[in-house]
Order: sequence, then structure tokens, then C-alpha cells
Amino acid sequence: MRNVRANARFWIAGIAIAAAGVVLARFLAPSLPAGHARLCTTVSGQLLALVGLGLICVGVSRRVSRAAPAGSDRSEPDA
Amino acid sequence: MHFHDILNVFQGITTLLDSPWSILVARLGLMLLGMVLVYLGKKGVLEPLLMIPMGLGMCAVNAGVLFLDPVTAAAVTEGPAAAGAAAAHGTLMMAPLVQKTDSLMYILQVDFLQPIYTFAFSNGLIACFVFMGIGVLLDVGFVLARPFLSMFLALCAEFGTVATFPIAVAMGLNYREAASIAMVGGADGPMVLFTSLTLAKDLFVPITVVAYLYLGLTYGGYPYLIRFLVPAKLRGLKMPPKPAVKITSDEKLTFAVVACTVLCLLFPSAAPLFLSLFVGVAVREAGLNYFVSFIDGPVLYGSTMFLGLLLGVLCEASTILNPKVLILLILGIVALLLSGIGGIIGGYLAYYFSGRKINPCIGIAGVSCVPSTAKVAQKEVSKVTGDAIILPEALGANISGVITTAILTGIYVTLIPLLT
Repeated sequence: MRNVRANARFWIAGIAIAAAGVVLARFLAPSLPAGHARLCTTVSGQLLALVGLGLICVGVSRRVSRAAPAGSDRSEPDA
Repeated sequence: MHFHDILNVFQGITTLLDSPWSILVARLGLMLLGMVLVYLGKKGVLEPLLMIPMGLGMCAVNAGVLFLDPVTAAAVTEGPAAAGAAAAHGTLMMAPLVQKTDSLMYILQVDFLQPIYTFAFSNGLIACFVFMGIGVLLDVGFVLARPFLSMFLALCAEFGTVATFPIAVAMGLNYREAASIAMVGGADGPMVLFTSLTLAKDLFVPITVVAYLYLGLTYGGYPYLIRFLVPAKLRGLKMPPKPAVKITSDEKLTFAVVACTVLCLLFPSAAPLFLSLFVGVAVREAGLNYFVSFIDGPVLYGSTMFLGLLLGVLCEASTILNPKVLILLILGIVALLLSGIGGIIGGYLAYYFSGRKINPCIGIAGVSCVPSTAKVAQKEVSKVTGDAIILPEALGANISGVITTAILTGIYVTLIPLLT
């Protein structure tokens, strides 16, 4: 878990944003009256949650770019 | 012995002659189509793992029709046995439309594939097993290494899944049916099966059959689309080398846990799919080798075989004669074509925004037919420039495509009931 801890900022921010999206889509939206506002809140919450997951990916990608040794030739995840 | 008794010995032929001409033609046509599928599967033109059991199932179900005894006929039709009425035609394979508990219990003891259909197919379990197998084969590290490129291409390659929906509505399908057939654009069989079982149970047989038939064609058809839309000079473009780094299995496992939890919270209706996919990923990344070999062996291949067989057996003449099937055939190919075009447009955009460094062919890999479309992209590039390697980037887009298609399934399954 060393790499996750070293990159904690992105993991925490990503999870927090995703959780905020879930709250918006699953808790706030159902309490609104049916109509455009409810649909928009649902969709915005879903998008926000996906942005949170994207942020985690970006954090891992940045960690990888920083850790890359000079002169190597390709990026390969674990087999 | 009378001539009538001799005909009763060969009931497959007698029922054929006893059928209305439309059923007769459809049964003969489907038997022929089944044989063609087996042949094309053996030749490698279509995916043999699915097409051989499916083709044989189509031949058998349309050939093996017999006069049902009154009790079985009553259970299949869920009505009282009509005395003196003409004997109903049917098979001893499966009765997918039976709903009543008593009839179902009777049919479970008569039709040999009914237990698999009832307990594994109609509840989406078999789709989830296939998805679990896909999860074990996926390396999410390819996505984590290049998140922007992978997600962008995957989103572009969902063009068909999104654009087919309004086209289908304009062609007369309701929202639920339109969303189910639009999912063919995601090029992921289990997802189409799951969506159609959830949203359009009446049409799930033709939709799923159309999807699997066309998915078999992606391997043969997409190379022509690439050659048509991407000139040879761009197809042979070598991408700049990237530094060698490792995404650790801890990171991949943590991502799988977070993504699974968030997506299940967002789309509970598609939670079985997300759980199946990410449990495969988690098992792989946790290094549980006994589970990995169980899931990517008996579970994946067993499910694929029974999926093919059951889809074939579901292709009865009466099902295929539904007038909506022609619309589904057109929309299925439109969805896949639009997704392929969307993916390649994404590839072109990535090519221009990256300063002409990214090979546009990887766009087709955003269509989530894992790993066929990534292999197709690499094959087409290698044909022009033998030593150009695009597979890691293509696999990133490909795996991102699976996750994007699962998310779109969740969106359709969640939002369509709200719209209707």
C-alpha cells in the first residue's frame, strides 16, 4: 500500500468527490420533486462521481510519470 | 399401420408440414443459418466459442419440434388443455415464456435446458459469470497508466450506444427497447443481455441474438472500417516510447474496491454487473491464483458455452418472426458502425491534440469488445509498419471501454424507468 499512501492526496480527493457525487445523485435528487431539477441533479451527481474516479486515475498516472526511470522504453502495468 | 402413424414417428417432419408456411420457411431458414454459423465458427470468421454451440442449438430447436401431449402443452401455453383441439407444437428443450409456478415446476422436469434457463439465464447470472471472467482477464493498470487517453477514446467509442437510442425511438421502439438495442453499440454481449433482460424482457431473445451475431462480425468488419477511414500513412504511425513503470497490484486492487463501491452506490440496478467485473479484477490483483484459474477456466468457458447453446435454442421460428426483428437487425449494425466511427474520430482527435503523435487506429479499441478490437487495431497497424506497437494504449482504451459500457448500462437501467 506504499504507493497508495504516497499518493494519498489524489486518493482522498477522488474518493471525497465521488462520495459527494453519490450523495447528490442518490440522496439529494430523490428528495426533489419529479422533473428537470431532479433529472439534472441525478445526472450531475453521476458525472461528479465519475470525475472522482477519474481523479484517482490521474493521481496514479502522475505517480507513475514521476517514478519513471530515465531511458526506459515502455510503460507496462503488471502482467 | 397407417400412413398417419408413420408420419407420427417422424414428428420433426410432420410438424414442419403441419405448420403455416411462414413458420415452415422460418424453421428451414434458421436450420440453414445454424449450419452456416457452425461453418463460419469453424472457419474462424465468427467467434467459434459462441457460434458453434449457438448454430447447433438453432438447428436442433427448429428441427426437433414435436406434437406436445395435452398436459405439457397446457403447461407451456399456461392455459387449460383444450379437448379435441389440434395438438400444439413444441420442443423438449426449453419454454422461456412460462411464468406460473405450477407450470414452471412441471416444465423444469420435462425440458432438459429449462433448469439452466430458469436458474442461470433469465436472472442474468450467466451474463455476470461471463463478466466475472472478463474481469479476471482485465488489467486495469493499462487504464490507470493512461487515464485521459483511455477514457477519452472509450467515451468517443460509445457514440453508437448513445446515438442509436433516439434513432431507435424514431423507428418506433419504446424507450426500454431502444435502450436495449442501443447497447449493442457497446459491443459487449453480457451487457446487452443484462440490459434487455432488465428493460425489454419480451424482446431480449432477438436483441441478444442480434448482438452476438454482430459482435462476431466486429473481428471481420472493423479492419475494413479502419482501412476505409484511416489512410495507410497514418495507420503505420509509430507512437513515441514511454518509460517503463509499474502500477502495483495494491493500487489496482484499491481502485477496483473504490470504483466498485462508488458505481454500485450510483447504479444499484447494475450492481450485479459491477460486482462481477470488479470481483474478477480483485481476485486477479490479490493474487488468488486458485480463484483466477477457476473463474477464467470453468466459469468463463462453461458460461460461454451454455450462453451460446441457450441463445441458439431460443432462436425458434416463432420468436424470429416478430416484425421488430428487422428493425433490430438494422439498429444493431447501425449501433456498431457508429461506435466504430466514433472511436476512430476519437483517435483522430487524440492524434491532433497530441501533436500528431498518437496513432488514430487505437480509437477503434475504445469499442469494448475485449480484446478483439485492440487486437484488430494492432493487426492493422502491423500490416503497414511491422515494428509499430500500439497494443498497450489500445488495451487501455479497450478496458476503459468495458467500464464505460458498464456505466452506460447502469445509466440506461436507472434513467429509462424514470423517463417512462
